[in-house]
Amino acid sequence: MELQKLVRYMLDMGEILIRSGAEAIRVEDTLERIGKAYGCARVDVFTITTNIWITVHTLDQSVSQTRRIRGYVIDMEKVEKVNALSRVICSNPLPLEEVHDRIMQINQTSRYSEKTLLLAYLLVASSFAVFSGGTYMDGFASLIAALILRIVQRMGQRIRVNIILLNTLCAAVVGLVVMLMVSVGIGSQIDKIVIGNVMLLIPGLQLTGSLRDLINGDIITGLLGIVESILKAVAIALGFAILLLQIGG
Amino acid sequence: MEKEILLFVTSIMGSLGFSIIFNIKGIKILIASLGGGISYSIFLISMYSSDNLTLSIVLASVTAATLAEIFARICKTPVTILLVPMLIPLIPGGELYYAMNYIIFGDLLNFNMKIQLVVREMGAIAGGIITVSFLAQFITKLKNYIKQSAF
Repeated sequence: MELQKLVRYMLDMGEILIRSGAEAIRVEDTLERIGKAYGCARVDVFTITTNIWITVHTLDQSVSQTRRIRGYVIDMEKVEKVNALSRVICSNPLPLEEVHDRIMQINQTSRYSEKTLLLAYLLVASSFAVFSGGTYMDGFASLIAALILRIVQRMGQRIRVNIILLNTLCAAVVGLVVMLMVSVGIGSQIDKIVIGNVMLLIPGLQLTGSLRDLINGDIITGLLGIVESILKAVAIALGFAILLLQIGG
Repeated sequence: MEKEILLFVTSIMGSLGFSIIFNIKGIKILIASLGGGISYSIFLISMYSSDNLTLSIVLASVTAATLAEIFARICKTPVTILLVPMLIPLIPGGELYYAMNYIIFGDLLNFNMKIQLVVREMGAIAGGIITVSFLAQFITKLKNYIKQSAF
């Protein structure tokens, strides 16, 4: 029974790590160490971005469990906390009840308030519009578009729109807002203003991370990540394209 | 020079914004966003002196990864946490967007050009990171080995 519980808590930790944006190799490494720390003779962990399989072996029994993982929100604070917990466990295996309590605590890690997040969105959008060669006015236009982007995104998340569809929708709304603003005279280079907002949506980091997974030897995780990020990128471009085709730009 | 200062400042602001979006807290925000600015300025300096895009990106990503490895050990935190926001200014998000835009409009020639650029830049970033992480692992193992053989 204890072994069953241990594996369940290992899966909980692995799930938090993957959902928060840790690399597959880190998850496998962490879980293996934890299993060994509790005296398992052998620990087999296999992780892809949507699933974790664990089998632990002691001298007289083996336990396997799997966990399906859906949806993720990058949260580095959680990654750090799980990492800290695994360090504690490796140097001194805690009683399983305490591990459970600590996992619950990690799950309740606070995030920045919606206001701060919104400010971060505005900061990213305006600075990348200027960064990619826009004027200050373009930066300002990008800031306003990001405000509307965030509102649409929040609404979409609340009614649980499919993530790919949501990206298309956000892109279309941003495109529309940018075109209206440029026609009124706020900002001038449409593509620079759009890129400021695209940086918030486009999965460039995910694509880089997937390439890294590939080179590290995690072929399946890497391929899954690449396919997913290409799909997302196409969805975003499609959102802008629908608009351009309609207006005939 | 004015343009370079603007790029430096905006790259720091971009990294800062993403640090908040990724829920990074405390002093790590400062390290991550300054690191983003520093690695981007290495890219700019290298572009000036060599005009070689791939080389410059590799150098910048090596800088970011080295900074992340060092400060991760000081702050006792996983390397990724500091590294991910530092890479933001290097990520060719704009080019990826242009590439997808071209393929939707059926402009295969321009798509080809852009997507090659994206793959080259992202490959350079990934290559830089992996080189540094292998080196860091090697140094750690060497240290442990020396410690063990001393006793």
